[in-house]
Amino acid sequence: MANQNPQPEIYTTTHAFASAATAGTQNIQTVFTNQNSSEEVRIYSIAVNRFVTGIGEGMILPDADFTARIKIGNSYVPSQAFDISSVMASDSKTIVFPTPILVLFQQPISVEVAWNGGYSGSQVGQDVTVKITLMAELSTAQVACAPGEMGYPQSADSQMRRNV
Amino acid sequence: MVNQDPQPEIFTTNFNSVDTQAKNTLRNVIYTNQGHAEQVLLYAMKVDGVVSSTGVEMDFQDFEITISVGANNIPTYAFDGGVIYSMRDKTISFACPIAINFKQPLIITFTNSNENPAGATNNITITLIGETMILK
Repeated sequence: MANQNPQPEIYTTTHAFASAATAGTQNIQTVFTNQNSSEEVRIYSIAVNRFVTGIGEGMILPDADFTARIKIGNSYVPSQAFDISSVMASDSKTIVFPTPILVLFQQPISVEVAWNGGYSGSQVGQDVTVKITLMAELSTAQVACAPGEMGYPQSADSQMRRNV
Repeated sequence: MVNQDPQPEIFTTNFNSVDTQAKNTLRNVIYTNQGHAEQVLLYAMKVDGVVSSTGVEMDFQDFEITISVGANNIPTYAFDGGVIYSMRDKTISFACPIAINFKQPLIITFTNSNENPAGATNNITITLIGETMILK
């Protein structure tokens, strides 16, 4: 439930990888947006950080090959896993999506982070925590209902058909 | 009370001598001093930190920040402050502004849940960038 419209939201997930984790190890965390049936969440960008677990300080992990996938409800948006190592290495540690990711009512967000190897070692070698931060906003959905009509979305559909 | 409409505002709050060898939950209140017909909008946030004893940039990055406006947290959840600190410009912009109305206290909560036996004592500064304006 939004306290203001729109309301900024920042969702952070924490993904821990043990030092003995092998290539292909995946860590999945779920974000509950707690949104109402008439609200929608838009995710505009993603920031990535990593550090040694427990110590909380940065580290040098050679050519660490981490990828992420974002699952909205039952579907992946973007459709494929994308590299986040380059995001970690960038100055801004952020990538901005060309169009926002849309999260509707009762659609949980799953953030899947995988370590794919990527250097000579077959294990991570350090206890690593990857933190993913999703920059988003929560807003009341704008509904194109005809005046006095009930039963959205059917009424909105019929209104759109009339406009066409 | 604003001196111009709108008026830029930069609110800075410090968490000094944060001992990262222990878990911490620290809260600071920011008073916006706004009139009843005024609203504050926060657009961005900066996070910086130094080692208390030396003044050099801290290495510590595993902490979270919560912003409370009145009785509610906005954003809803605590979020990663370490990633903001590790950015080159140490700044994030909110997707849309945080609105603060009259008599709503602004509370910043700093949390670190790890205990680093060799951790330093740090001074952490959080800056909120916004504006105060008269409601039309």
